[in-house]
Amino acid sequence: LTIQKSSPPALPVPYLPRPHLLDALEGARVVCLTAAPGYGKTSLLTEYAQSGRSAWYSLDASDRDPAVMLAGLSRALGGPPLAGESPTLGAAALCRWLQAPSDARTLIVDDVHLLAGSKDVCRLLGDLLTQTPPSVRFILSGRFLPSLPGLARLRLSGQACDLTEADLAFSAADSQQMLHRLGVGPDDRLHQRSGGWPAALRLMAAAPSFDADGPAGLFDYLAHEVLGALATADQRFLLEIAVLPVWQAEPCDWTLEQTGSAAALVRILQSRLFVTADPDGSLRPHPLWLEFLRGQLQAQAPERYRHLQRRAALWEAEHGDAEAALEHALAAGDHGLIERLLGRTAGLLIRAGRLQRLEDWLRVTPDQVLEAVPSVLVDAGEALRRAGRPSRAVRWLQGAVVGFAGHGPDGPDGLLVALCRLALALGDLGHWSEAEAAIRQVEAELPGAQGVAQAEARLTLAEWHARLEQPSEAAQGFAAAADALSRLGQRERQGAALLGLGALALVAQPGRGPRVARSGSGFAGDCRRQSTLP
Amino acid sequence: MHQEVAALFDLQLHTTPNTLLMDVAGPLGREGGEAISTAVQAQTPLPRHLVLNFTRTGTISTAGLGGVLWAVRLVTKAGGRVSAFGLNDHFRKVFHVMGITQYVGLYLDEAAAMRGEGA
Repeated sequence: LTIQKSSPPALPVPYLPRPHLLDALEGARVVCLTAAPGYGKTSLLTEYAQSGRSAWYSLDASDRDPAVMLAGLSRALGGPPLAGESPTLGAAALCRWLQAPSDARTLIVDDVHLLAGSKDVCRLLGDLLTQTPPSVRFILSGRFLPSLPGLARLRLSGQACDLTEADLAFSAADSQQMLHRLGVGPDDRLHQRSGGWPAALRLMAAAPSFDADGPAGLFDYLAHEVLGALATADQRFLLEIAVLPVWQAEPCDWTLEQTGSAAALVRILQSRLFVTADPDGSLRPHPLWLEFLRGQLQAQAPERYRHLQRRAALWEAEHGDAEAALEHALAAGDHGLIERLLGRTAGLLIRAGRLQRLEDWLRVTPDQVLEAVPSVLVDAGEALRRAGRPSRAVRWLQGAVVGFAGHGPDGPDGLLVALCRLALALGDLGHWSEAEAAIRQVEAELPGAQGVAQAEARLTLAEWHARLEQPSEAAQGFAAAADALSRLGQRERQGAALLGLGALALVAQPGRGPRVARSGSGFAGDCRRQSTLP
Repeated sequence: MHQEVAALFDLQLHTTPNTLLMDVAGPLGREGGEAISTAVQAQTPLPRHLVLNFTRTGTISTAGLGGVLWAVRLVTKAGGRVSAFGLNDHFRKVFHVMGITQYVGLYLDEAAAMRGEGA
């Protein structure tokens, strides 16, 4: 055991040499190398140890005893035997020995994070850093460094420097080289997904089929080497906050129905558990770490997972992020909540012109929820049609038809409105025969229609007449539709009718057209703006 | 079985094991659609094969189609299938436009519809 603690482990096979990082390890008298597990700290130090004169000492739990650590460090350096000495006398003896003239020495101390919470040992190590001569260099490595007295001053004076995950992460070129050494062909996806995390790349590449097996090997590693090594309370906290993509104390407390998240998040940050801190203080976990934690919670406590996702949805909805709320509601599988949030989110996305995003949401929404919100599908279809994507429009409008069929008393009017929009979308697609059949059906139903359905039918027929270059019928239809929609309080649709009227005037009477068109356009804009007000 | 829904609308049901044949006559509006969906809903168990005869139907409103589609969804969600025949060219297109043909096979005659093959 003593030999193992004083010798570097073997390099992994294959290994990608990191010459620029070896240079960086010479950057100051004290180099602090901190990164999450799997970033290659120990491998880099082993490569360094093999390339020059250095002493090695791997810490373990027994080194939380100052006498044990001191004796171990002295043994690693080839110094005086200190077994049985008190820590104070032992430290003095070691410092005296190191003061003697000799060649430059470098002491590599690995797994320094294991000393966290042991004040006496940390003080002792800090003393060694500050009281040994400049010819003695230290490389301290670990997931994080505990508070070491004197280290801050060394940093200020330029005698200490830091290397972190950002330095150790593989570049795209590094990843491809490592994949080559592993006998795997070039695969950008593996680099993207790993985010430069070397262990993740290696373990994902080792899976027989990346698509089929995903990062199973990596997740086994995280389960046993990382999560399993944490205290039970910290494990539970991490698993549960993983329902949130970004970690902040207040939403964590609210979602988990507890207090104390702020302190727990500080511990996570200090422990370098695959998180980066945003400027606002929130923590952003590595995507693979988040995926792993979520998967664990889903497997271990599916009901709790859905409950927490639902809580997160309610928090986001309350704080105005409808899209985030919808994402959580979908993960919770709460159909009622999805239904409520979808209408709100769709309206916002349509007004912002983010139709691709809207379609992404609709695609992942369960069919039975979509059938419950046919009006959302009609709005989505119409927005896509107007954006020049009629084939996409047809898909969602036909989905709305199914929804309206089971929509009680509102269903029949909704069906006629959906048919109106389908007629125009099919016309846009050049499917004239079907579009004409739909228009004939709308014409046949116009006399018996009422309210919004009747106004929409008039507007559709007006647009159809305009396409057929029948300006008189079109103008009459637009005017009647605008009037009816105004009376019904349908301000955005009224704007659409006025826009049609303006466009007609622009073509027919060049002198008058622009004014009418501007009026219609301005009115539609006003309506859109007003409709976004609380 | 005979069911009068409206003055001009008429619906007749013929049941055979696993199959429900509905003869629809007259203009199919909102009430007719409701009659169709109610009649299908009343079947226990739901038919494995619903066949709709539109030979004697001249007009169908979207409201009527809503009732038909509701009945269609009841049957298809329970794992059954739906066939229809006798639709004129206009309503074949309307069925297609509204996406109803995703759930209903359209046939030229009763024999083909009852077989439910080669829609």
